[in-house]
Amino acid sequence: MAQAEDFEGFVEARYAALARTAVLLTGDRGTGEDLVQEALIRTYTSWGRVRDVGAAEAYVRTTMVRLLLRDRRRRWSGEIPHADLPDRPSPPADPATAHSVRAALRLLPTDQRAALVLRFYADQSEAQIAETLQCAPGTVKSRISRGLLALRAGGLLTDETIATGASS
Amino acid sequence: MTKLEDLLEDAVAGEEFTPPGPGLYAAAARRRRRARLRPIGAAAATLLAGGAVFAAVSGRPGPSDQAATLLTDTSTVPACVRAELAQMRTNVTTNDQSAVVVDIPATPKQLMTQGVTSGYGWVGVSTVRVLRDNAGNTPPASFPMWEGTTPDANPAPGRHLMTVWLDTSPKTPGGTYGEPIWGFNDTHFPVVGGDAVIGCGGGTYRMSLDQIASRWLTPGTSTALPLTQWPARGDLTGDAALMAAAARLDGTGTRVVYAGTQPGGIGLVVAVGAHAIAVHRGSPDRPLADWDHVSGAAPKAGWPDVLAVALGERDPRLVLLAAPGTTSIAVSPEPVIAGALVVRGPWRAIPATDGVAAVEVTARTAYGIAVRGPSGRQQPVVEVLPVAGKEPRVPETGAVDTPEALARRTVAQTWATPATVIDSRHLAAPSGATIDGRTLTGIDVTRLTVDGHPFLNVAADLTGPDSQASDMVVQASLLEGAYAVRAVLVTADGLGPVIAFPVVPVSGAASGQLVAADGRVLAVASARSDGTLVVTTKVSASEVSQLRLLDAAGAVVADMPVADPRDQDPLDVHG
Repeated sequence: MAQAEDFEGFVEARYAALARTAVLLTGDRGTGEDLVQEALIRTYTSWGRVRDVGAAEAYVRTTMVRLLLRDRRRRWSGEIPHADLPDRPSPPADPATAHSVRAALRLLPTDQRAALVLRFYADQSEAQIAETLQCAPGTVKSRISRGLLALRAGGLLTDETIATGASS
Repeated sequence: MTKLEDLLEDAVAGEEFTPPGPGLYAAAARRRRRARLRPIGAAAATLLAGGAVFAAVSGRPGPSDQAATLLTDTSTVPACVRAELAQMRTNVTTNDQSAVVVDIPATPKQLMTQGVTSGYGWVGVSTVRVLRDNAGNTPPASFPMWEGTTPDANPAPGRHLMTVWLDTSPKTPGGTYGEPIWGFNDTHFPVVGGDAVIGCGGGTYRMSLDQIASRWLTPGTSTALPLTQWPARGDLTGDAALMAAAARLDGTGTRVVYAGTQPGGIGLVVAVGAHAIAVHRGSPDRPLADWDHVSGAAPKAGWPDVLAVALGERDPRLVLLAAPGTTSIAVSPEPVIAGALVVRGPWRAIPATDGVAAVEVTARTAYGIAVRGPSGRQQPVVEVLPVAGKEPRVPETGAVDTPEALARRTVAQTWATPATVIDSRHLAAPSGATIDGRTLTGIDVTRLTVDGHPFLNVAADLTGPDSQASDMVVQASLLEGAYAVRAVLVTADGLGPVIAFPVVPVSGAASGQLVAADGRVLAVASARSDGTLVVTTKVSASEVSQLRLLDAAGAVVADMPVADPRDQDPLDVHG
């Protein structure tokens, strides 16, 4: 089982990577940091039961996603929920900037955003994403598909961008 | 060619993060320690059988020589029981746990694994009854359950009321999940017959499971001792003459809820009558009749769960009173604008000793301060004495000539009136709408500055069936030079119900839109010549997701989240 001191070492080593994932999951640095820290705190309370420190990062990432999904109606604020694309897309002036990517992510429904980040940033398989999101693999497929369509409609992606992205 | 992976990678590649260090570990340790040290029902537990009370089974002494008190009347439930049940309700309503009655087997605990976690627990815990079901966290008829964080948190074998959740730890790479395992919260109570047995505060109490399910685990109900039943607290409560005088000053039935000396030697007495709140301030060496006395009507929307009394003059403190046993009161000192023009009000937990706390305020922050108590969503009512030189204002009487005069009067009245009814519902209504049987015939918007603080005032003209016009006033604080925080809403007479209008005065915004969560534009309005903006819509407030401001070219200037109308917190404006 993991030792308490392992936790500090784990945080020191993996905090930045986890925080970047959280920023993409929330679309905002501040709320992303809140999210990752809450997930780490929750991880710590269960740290004594963590058998494999190597799997801890997946544990924290899963916790982040579930916190995000659970609290999407409450906090991790700044989120602008849209069930569908807005009538008038808000394409960023420069689609390649970090700001515009985050802005485009924020416009996505939380579950679609989480699926895209896990697939294309965390490099998880659809089966792994399904476990994390606690849904069927088919649901993951549709969320990714809808998310990609939304990003394309918003001007962030081109067909080529999607085509050259990771395939499932 | 850019891949989506690259876009995402680049979107955060420039972000540098410093590990939070000791602060995080301390917070984590505190949370774990709370889980370990929290006094639990089982820890103080007694088992009740056949009317007799037996000593606790958890190793801690129980009040074995005391018969359990059956609690049937809500008003007589002790504060400690309320606190225990409030925790259980939070587990259910906030943390999505399910409240169930279970039988813990007497068989030894076993080593179990679930995903990346491993530990001891019970196999064959059986579900007897589900009091509150949260989808996904309700166990089957028989299920495995982790033991507590520490052994002393474990329930004894037998029947218990507890809240549980499904532990879904991620699996190890290449591994499998195995059988689902549930966890339980430290707040749990032995069950005997149809009653839960709650040991706390040196006593042992019984409450029927039906009552717990219908009353205490229901969202929206307060478990805190109501204000009208608060005991007197403070170092001056031993002054019999003072207490008697305070109880007499506002007629019979007055209850003194606080009598204490403030830093600097000033005495403060807060008394609650059947229909009024009275605040006395003065020298403890003088008779109460010589003290300053401010009295205000009780809020019509119900008693708050926190009273915030600003002391005024040279004492920049806000004394916060909540139900006895309350250990923390949340305060939002002033609204702020975060990045991307998202307005939010951060909340800070102020430690309270037996429901009493104090926080420093200034004249500036006092205009935007808000408090909330144990319920978290109770209507925040701020009881004020004049703060930092702001003396009470006596509302003007007589006809109001201009909208600005009305606005000034209302602002002054609001500030001076202790029982300001505050409501944060955003229920927009267009001209011609009917509100409580009265027709909305006009909206007047006035921007004004009171004592250097910007305010926005919206007066809605309502005409009733008797053709008598009346005013309903919506008042909103403004952030300096920027946007309305969101409406802090009052009627002219301090009564509800209240309507609100998403109103944003902003320089540079030529128009505004109310936008639904699905992106539909619900309403559009152009800025007025004075720069204010009034957008109205017939749709339910719950449909409105955000207020979008656009410049003359149609470009979005800002998106402001519109508060959830169910959120009764006037400053907590997260989207």
